[in-house]
Amino acid sequence: MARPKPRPPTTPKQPTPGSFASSQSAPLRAFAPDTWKTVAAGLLIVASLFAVWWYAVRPPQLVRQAEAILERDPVQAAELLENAVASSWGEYRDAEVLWARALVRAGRWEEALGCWSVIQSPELGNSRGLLALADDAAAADVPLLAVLSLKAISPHDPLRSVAIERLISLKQQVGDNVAAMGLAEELAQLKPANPIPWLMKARLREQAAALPEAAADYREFLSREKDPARRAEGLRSITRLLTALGERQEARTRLDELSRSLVTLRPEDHLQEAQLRRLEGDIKGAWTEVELVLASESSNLTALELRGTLAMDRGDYAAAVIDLQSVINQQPWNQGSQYKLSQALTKAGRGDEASGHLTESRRLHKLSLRILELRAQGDLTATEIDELAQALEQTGLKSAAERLRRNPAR
Amino acid sequence: MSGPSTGTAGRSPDATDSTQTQPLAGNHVPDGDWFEDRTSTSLVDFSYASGREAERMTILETVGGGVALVDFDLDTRLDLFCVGGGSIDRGTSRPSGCSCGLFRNLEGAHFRDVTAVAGLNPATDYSHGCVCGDVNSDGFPDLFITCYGQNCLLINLGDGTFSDETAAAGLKGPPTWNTAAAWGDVNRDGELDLFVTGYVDWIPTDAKYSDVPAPQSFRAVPDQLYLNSADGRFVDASDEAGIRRDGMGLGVIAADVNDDQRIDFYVANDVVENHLYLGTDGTALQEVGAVAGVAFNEAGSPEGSMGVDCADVNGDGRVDLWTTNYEMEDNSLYLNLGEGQFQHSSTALRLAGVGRPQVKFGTGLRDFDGDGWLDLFFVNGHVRYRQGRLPFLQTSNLCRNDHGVGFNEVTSAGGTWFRARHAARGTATGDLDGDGRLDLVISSLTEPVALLYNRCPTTNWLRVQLVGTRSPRTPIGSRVRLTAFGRECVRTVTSGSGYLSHSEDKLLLAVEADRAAVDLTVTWPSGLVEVFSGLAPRSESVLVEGRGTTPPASAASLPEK
Repeated sequence: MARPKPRPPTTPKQPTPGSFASSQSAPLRAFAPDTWKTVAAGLLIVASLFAVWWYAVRPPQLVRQAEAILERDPVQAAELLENAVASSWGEYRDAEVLWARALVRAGRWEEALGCWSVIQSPELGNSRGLLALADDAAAADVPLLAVLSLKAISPHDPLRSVAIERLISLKQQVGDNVAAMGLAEELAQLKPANPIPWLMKARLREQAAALPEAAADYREFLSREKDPARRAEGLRSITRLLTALGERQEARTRLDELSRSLVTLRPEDHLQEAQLRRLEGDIKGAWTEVELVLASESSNLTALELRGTLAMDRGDYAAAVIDLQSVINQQPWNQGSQYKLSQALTKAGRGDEASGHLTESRRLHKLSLRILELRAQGDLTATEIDELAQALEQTGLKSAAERLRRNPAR
Repeated sequence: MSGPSTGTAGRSPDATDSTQTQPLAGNHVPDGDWFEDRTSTSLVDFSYASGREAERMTILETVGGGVALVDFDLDTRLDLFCVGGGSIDRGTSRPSGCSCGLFRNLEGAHFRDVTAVAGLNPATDYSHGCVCGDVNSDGFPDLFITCYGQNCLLINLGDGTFSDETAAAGLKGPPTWNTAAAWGDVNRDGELDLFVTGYVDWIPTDAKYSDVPAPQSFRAVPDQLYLNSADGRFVDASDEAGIRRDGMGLGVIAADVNDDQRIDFYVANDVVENHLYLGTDGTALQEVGAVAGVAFNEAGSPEGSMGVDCADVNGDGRVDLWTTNYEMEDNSLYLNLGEGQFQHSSTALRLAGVGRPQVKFGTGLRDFDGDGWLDLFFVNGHVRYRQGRLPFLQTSNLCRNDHGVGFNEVTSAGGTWFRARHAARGTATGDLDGDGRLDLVISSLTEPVALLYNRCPTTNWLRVQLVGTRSPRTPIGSRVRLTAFGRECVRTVTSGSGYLSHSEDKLLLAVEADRAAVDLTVTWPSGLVEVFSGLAPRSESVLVEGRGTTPPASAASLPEK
């Protein structure tokens, strides 16, 4: 990496008293000794003032200039900051952080990392600067530098909690949920009254399929969160989770609170209501909710699949076939609907049409298992990467397949 | 060894759980708990040994063991047989068996350990399941024990002792891992044949695990069907019968599921699809699980199925199927629609979500409160020590049948045992004290076998024992119909219900309080349909095939034996 070396400042040479005396010409000796002293003192003052300007006044000026042009001309800003750092003998921490930031903005990521690597004790730097560097690094997809700068923010700094939030997000991006959870725990301890860490923990646990623990964290979040909009999102999440856990009574309480708190329910709220009513054994009520959604969004596939399932609950297999067929037409990779359709067709007396859907359901299930297997495997050969990408495509995860093909290492 | 086993013992001190209770209605609901734990006064002191104390984290130690409730000495009182399990070597994970236990019922409330007297103290291999049936038609129930290694057939000699006839019966083969078993007359020759489930091909290893490995880490061990040759020997007819080789069976129940008087087998498989074998005219069985709709959950995914039962849940006269499943999976209730079709109906009958986070094992559809509707229980406990979503010890569940339209959870009224956490596995039901109420016996991994006595108010009841003549003497697959509570009730004789266990063969039938006599219609596995009239309530009746009266509609043609 081409780490820009701090250049030594071009300071004027300081005359030494001895050399000065020996180099004087004869006519000058005519001056009185007091005059010489005055001149020497004056020069010394000038030199001192210059040194003060050079070392103390000029670098901050350069930094201010760089800050002013950082967004529109990061290259020029980087040069100014290089001079500022050089002027201060490489010991201007905040300028170095800003220099790294300018280099990031200029697209010179490796130089930025090199710049960072020589900053002595970055944790003593300005935390706002570190945070800004992290944000720019994250935006420029240089997660390593973002993580390093966020970690440099001291545990005692008021911005530490913001830094942790950013770190959690970064850890999640690289799939390191264990580290993210550790940070979320730290954040919860740091700000006990803050609902956000609990929300983060809940989401992380949900991703890790630790559903009872996720529900517990959502409860903590809701006990702290007062903002109506964020509270509504929390209620949606916990209701979904409790329904998945089969905890009908609390799910009902939470969903009722959500319904009371909103002027207008979203289609997904009606679908959640339908799911919960089905769990409660109220098939008729669930049907009504799904119909509400389909009245405004007739091609809502989630609603169609649910109505097909409810039709099976009611023993109306012909109606179930129509809805489930609509889903399959749009989502041939929908394994659950393929299976339900096979069952509905069989029970509607159309067994010959059912077998193909049963076979397809089995095939899709096996593909899902293979995806899990390959993902758990870690190091994949080129053939396996191709197999995984194909499996993802066939199970409807096209964007994941594209990402995999673009960047197999990720 | 008899009495207390070498396994880990001691009751769990875990706190009770506040499971939600539905308000109860009706005449038969007790004010207090449904069950009373009387283990401590029963003189039964036996613990299944899993070998977990060796800390090898083997999959073997997670499966657990069963119990059998059967009247071995024909003194009319239900005796208790407990599977022993085994120990696991700390260094090599190699298992070895521990002795099973046999407890003679003295007067309903107390038992005497007769393990040594019965000749059962030599240990089998590491044992799991047990199933009873009169294999040799001598009137005394015999016992089959499934093991990791060699299974064991114990013939009841009728004098209070048993003889190990495994080798003589041709049931000794290469060591393998069998779990559940069920009896049923497959080829309709009047003899009980044997279906045994295979689990996975785990072998002892030096490898260290951080937790119990998943069954997907291993290959399936095929199930087996043995035909009874009527000469004391069994012949492996698995291939001839078309038994699939891809199951990882933990449960199997034998019953006449489709009312054609042929024995059927429903196999609960772990992590792969469940199998339903329907009987045909010959030895061949037809596997129709996926087409019939009983192989998967409602979304078409296989589940980790363990416990199994079948009975008419909704009162339509058809036999429905039921399995208990792994964590975050609902148990599966498949309502029988007739014509070979079933529908996954856990949600419709309000069972979705009940116990969903738990790992569910032993189970039973039984009329505990004597209202003529089959209630439901399932007992739980994790298989993984550290990496499960819920702890190793878990609460269990009890649900009351709401007139066939759904179930209401009544776990908190189940009694102290239901309110505490356990690592429960095998369960059996039977009327231990002859009071007309079904009691419950539960085997767990970390504590002694528990005896729970039913405290629901006694209703009017009738106990019947069916004895086959053309059919096997233990007539698995028989169907009994009676009119009670204003509707026709259907009960079936099954083998293998629950988990690795054997429940009382006699049928306990609830009838109205003012009934003076009861008429029963029995459909025998031979195809014979008979009526037994004027049976007195609050008593036990022995119904022998061929001694009833033939109803006019069924007198037509009977299949030749």
